[in-house]
Amino acid sequence: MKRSGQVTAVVLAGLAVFVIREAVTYDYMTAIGPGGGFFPLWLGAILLVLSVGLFVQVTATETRPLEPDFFPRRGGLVRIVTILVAIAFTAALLKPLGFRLTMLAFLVVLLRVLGRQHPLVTAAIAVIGSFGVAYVFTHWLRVALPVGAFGI
Amino acid sequence: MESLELLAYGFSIALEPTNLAFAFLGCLLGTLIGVLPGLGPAGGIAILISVTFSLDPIPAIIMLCSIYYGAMYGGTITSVLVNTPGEAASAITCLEGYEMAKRGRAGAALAIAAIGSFIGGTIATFGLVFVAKPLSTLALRFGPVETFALLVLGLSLIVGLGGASVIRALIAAVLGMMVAMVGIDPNMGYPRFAFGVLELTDGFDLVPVVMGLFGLGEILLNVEKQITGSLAAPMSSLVPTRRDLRDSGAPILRGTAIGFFLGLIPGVNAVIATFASYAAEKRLSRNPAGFGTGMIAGVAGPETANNAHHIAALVPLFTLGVPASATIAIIMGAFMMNGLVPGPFLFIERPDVVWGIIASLYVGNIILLVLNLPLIPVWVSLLRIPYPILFSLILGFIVVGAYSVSNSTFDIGVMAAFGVIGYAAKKLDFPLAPFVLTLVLGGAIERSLRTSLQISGGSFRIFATSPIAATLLAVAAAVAVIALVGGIRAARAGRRSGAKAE
Repeated sequence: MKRSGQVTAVVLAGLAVFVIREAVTYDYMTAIGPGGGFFPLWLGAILLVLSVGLFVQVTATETRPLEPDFFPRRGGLVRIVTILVAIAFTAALLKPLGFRLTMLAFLVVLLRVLGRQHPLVTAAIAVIGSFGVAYVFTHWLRVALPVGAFGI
Repeated sequence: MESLELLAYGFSIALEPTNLAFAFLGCLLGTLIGVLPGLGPAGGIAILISVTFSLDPIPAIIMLCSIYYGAMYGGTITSVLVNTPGEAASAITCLEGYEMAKRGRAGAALAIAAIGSFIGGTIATFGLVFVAKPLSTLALRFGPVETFALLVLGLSLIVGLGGASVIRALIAAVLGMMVAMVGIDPNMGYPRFAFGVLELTDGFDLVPVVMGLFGLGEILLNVEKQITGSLAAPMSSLVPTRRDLRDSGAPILRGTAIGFFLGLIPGVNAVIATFASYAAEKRLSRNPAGFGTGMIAGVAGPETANNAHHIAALVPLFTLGVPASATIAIIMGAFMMNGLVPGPFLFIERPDVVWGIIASLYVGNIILLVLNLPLIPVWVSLLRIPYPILFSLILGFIVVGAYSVSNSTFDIGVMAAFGVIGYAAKKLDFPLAPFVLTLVLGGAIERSLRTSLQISGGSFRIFATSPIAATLLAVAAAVAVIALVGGIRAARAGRRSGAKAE
């Protein structure tokens, strides 16, 4: 856990420096009191101190080895990446293709990658999860979902 | 007396058919969420907030509160039947509940848990009624100086008593505030940290952020391992024996007291309350050696403490506007999305909301009791649905929920990004409660600090001149010091044991 803690501390310190650099572009103090840069500057400074504190703490006291399942195994990594890529594609295709078709594809992909079911089960769940959910959201909850180029 | 009249007024609102229907639906969905391992109350509420977008504020909040305590009971079902807590506070129930299930007494364990939850929740709601009014009256005296001090105290309690590493909890709190400060400057009115991105000008919406952190983050953790389906122990009669009832009476009363008083303190989470109750029952038992083999007192006490805690944890939110946990911070966000600011002014400006919701807590407890006992076989059958199917559907729901906040695909991206952050936070031992707390309260913290400094002409002395603020800040400092000293001692002890092991 020591190395992961040290890397985290360095990344956080970098974020703190970035926030401080951005904060100084806003007013620290104005005629009526603290300006827009006051709070971010202090937060950035506090995060920087805490990052250094975390680095020192994990370096001095961390004795736990990295847990064996800290990094996902290949299968787990494939499932995680698939979910994130599927979400990215959904966000990109939602408006051009419409909610129903995009969600149908999203669910088919996830159902096939996360587990193995009979194709009919996959199809049924994907249809309920896309066309069924669209019906609930648009008719019952009055939430407008995008309709795509095919009018679906 | 005035409180009872207001409560009667609250009942007239809570018992309206629409509100009753949403309380019922919330209990049903909450129990479902509790039953599904890997999805806690915070994640469940975050995911389901989108369902309440089209509702009026009162039914929306009633439904979210019902989901909240429904999830608590749902977590118990899986603890007893499959030795897998649906949420952390039910973990202790596995010890005795699952042992009872193995001996064919799952029905009695679940029935006692439901009865204990009902009694604990009802007594705690009564407590809430009598504590809420005086506390909110006191809080009405608060100006920006006292408000800032109170928020700092709430934050220090969450950071100090949350059980995680203090330094990691502080970092999480600062990061939450940084996310909250993206968007329009609360005092000056110009955008900050938006980097020219139009969608960031209004800041991050709470819903996609919490959906990502708690919903997607949890699912990513779960799918990391090979996920396979269904479990479930055999069920027995749901009717507890006369001896079960006799053995549970005192633990239920003690659990109520422990849960209620610990619930009033922000940062003392339900896990601490349930473990304290379990420890008390074991210590007070005539047969302490029997604990671990299926003692019903070990189910009755902690389950009651759990429910009483969750009702009591609403007291700081309603009276002071300080959420006591991540889940309640999300509920607070739902209040704010509906144009309501929890705190003392809500008692004056919207008594219908406050008392309607408090009365709905009673109603919800009755619904849970009536609903859950007959439906236990249904929940058990749900556990047989393969996880890949459940997770796929939940992911679909998260995506549509994130989108429907403001009909923006940008929010789906925000949700995914915070899902990865939530996943990484879990891996790296960073607690999420301080993050969500400051995400919700960041604007209020900054506004009250800057307004206080405007009043004082930039001098921090103003926080020492107000007796209330000075006291609150002194308590906050004491909590921080105690937590830091405790953390240093724990680290030293860990290093010594590590050196010995080598």
